[in-house]
Amino acid sequence: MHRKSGALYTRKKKENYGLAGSIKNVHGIIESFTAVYNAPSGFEKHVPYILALIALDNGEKVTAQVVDSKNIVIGMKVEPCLRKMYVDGDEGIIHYGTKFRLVK
Amino acid sequence: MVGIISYGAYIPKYRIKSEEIARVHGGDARFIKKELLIEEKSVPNYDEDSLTMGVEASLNALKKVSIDKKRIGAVYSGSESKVYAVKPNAPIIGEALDIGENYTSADIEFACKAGTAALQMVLGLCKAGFIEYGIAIGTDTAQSAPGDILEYSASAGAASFIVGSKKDEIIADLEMMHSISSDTPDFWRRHNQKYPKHEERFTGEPAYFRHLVKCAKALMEKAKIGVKDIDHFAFHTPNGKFPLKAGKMLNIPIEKLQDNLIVSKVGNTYSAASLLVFTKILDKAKPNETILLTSFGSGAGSDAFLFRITNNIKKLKKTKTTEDYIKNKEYIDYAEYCKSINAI
Amino acid sequence: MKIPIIAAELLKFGELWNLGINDLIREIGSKTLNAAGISSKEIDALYISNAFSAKANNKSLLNSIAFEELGINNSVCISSGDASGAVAIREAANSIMSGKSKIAMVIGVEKVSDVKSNDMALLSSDMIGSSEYFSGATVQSQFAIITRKYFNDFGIGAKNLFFLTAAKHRNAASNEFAQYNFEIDEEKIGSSQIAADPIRMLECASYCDGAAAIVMCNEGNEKRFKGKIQGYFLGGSVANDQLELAKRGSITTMEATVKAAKEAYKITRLNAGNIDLMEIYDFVPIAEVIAVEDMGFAKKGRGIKFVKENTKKINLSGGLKACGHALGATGVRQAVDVIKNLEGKKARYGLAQALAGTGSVSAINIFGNKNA
Repeated sequence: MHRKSGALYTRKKKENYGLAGSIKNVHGIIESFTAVYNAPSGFEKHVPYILALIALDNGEKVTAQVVDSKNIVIGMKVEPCLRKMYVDGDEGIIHYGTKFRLVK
Repeated sequence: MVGIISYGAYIPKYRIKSEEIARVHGGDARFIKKELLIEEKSVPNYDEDSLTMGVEASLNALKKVSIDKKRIGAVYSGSESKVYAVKPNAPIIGEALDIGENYTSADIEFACKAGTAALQMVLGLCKAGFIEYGIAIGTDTAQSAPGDILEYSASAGAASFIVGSKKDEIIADLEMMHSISSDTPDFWRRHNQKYPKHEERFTGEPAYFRHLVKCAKALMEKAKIGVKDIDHFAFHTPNGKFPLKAGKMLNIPIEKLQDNLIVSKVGNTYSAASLLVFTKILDKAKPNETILLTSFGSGAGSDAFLFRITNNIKKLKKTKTTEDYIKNKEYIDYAEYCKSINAI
Repeated sequence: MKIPIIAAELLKFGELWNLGINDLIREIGSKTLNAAGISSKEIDALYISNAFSAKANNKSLLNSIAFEELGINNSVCISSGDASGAVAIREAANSIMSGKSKIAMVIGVEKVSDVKSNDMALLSSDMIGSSEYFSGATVQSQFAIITRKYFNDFGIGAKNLFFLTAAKHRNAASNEFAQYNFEIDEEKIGSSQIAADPIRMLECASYCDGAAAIVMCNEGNEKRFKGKIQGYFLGGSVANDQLELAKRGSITTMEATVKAAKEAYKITRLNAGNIDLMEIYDFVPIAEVIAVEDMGFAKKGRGIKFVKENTKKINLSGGLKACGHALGATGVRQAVDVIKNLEGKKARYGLAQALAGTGSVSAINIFGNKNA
């Protein structure tokens, strides 16, 4: 994966993890999803992982991973959570972002 | 007046049973379960760490109350598994929680008592009037060498507390604090070493018991209060045996120690350990009840707090309870466990 | 508009171990100039289309390389992901139409086999939205999300599409330029590893090396090259949409293709009913199905029936899947394959359609046969 600078991290942090830290109880519905087996470098260690197109209740949509969840089906309800997205090798920055998990 | 105005817990959902670890390392699962009273422990998902868990616990705390986040003046995070060697968890947590930028923050390390040390600092800043609200977090993804006895207990979890000084907001009023510190090499980790080392049986009587029991006793004397006047005891939980034994040494009836057995189902969450016993108690505590919280951190030291619950506890909104997290679980095997903790 | 195409050539696609990107440009360039019977000095505009040379070959000035290898002087690089070739053809046509050039050339080239397999998915990451990439998405994963939504909306299962890949390999069996010019049966396709659920590895086109080129001339030169004319360029269009699926409307429609088709039909004064054969972007099967719906050949949700009944009119070459997908060369290869197959009254008009990435660019070119 190409290097993501500290400046890029800072510009993107609100977009990347703002939703995960919100106290607003934002929920989403899974519109479609896939299980990725053929992953880009940086993500191969944990295949298969679930990527979903999620329709949020604030009207927006996102493509994000769904974790801690089994037997995903279109229409299920999900909530955001802060997770480690990617670590830049042994020396670089740890990138945090928003993933989703099923709501009980 | 100063005290806790809200609190939150977080425990990851994956569990590995003591039998499963014993199966791989030729250990004695019966001993672990019967003597150490550890049946299973929590395992973080590969994308969780002390920081993500700290945020989850803090969100649970924030959602119970309706305070203006921008008036939070401090975030202190206590952990022995902070995500960078140099770059603190605390302001990343603060930023994720969107509390603005007008706050002080730092990370604390004192083995398993880092969380209570963070709590003391925030209580101090608040009582002195420097801040209006503060957040103190104890969070860890505990490390242990494969095959070491600590592997059965080293687990992951977080607890977060919002501290304030307004009478109509405080749910647990701080009546007294006492701490003990010494230079005791019972458990440590050198730079660039992946796993900690410990002095086996030396971590018992000369370390855990000497500090924790002494500290709890000293606090009770200072506060002129006896065991019979305290409703709940939250101790550090390296396993199930130690807090029960400490309780016996202090003549505490076993009913007042039950919540410490969270360790049987979750393991030792290090900086969150005594604090998760505390959140479990807070989930059910009634106004006017008292709680004695005593942590122990190897190295070594102990922090003790006497809290009295107020009527305000009834005003808290409902979020996931400690018990909810204990019950929400999925078992994994040793190979999946190794992947989660990046051992393979 | 009717622009004569006086040469249309291909190199065989595949893992071309002995040819670097310079060699590809030289080989296809000289082959095509020879076919047109002209020297490089007569080319007064060259458009080189390529997607990944900066990352895969550490070279960005392919136009300078064309000068080194072929002596062609007036050239620009066109980079638009997998749609580069189609876009380049339209640009070359525009330079002829504007009177700027008399004889224009398009060279499409791609060299990815020097890249480690681990890094292949990384190459294409620049064609998707940055927040999609941040979450570990790839072009494949986003198409898989689209595929599942299509299945869900129209009551279809994965097994309803295996025939399509088998059909393309049957078409490619007689194509000497295709990388995978052999048949693969449905069973093998359906039981191959999963790439991104529900898409199987054998349903997905794979990136390869390749080169293709065409030469066009203006009206004034049509008489001179009468014997060389392979067909005519009649019109083309390029349209765009959001990079991210999350920012689009319905993901089972490629808005960019809808817009590009409308424009292409308008310019050429043709409609779907006039098109006799086509080369369609089939990176994954659902892309082909959605494309025929978006271009007006079938109603939304009925694309599978149309492609099933027209396997001898669509992707006769074998498509991206069986030819191999040499990104920057693909759009030009599609044009060459359309032109080669347009003959006689039954095959008058042909269409080539290419997407970039997951559909943020769609480029459509329409061609007529020699007697158009």
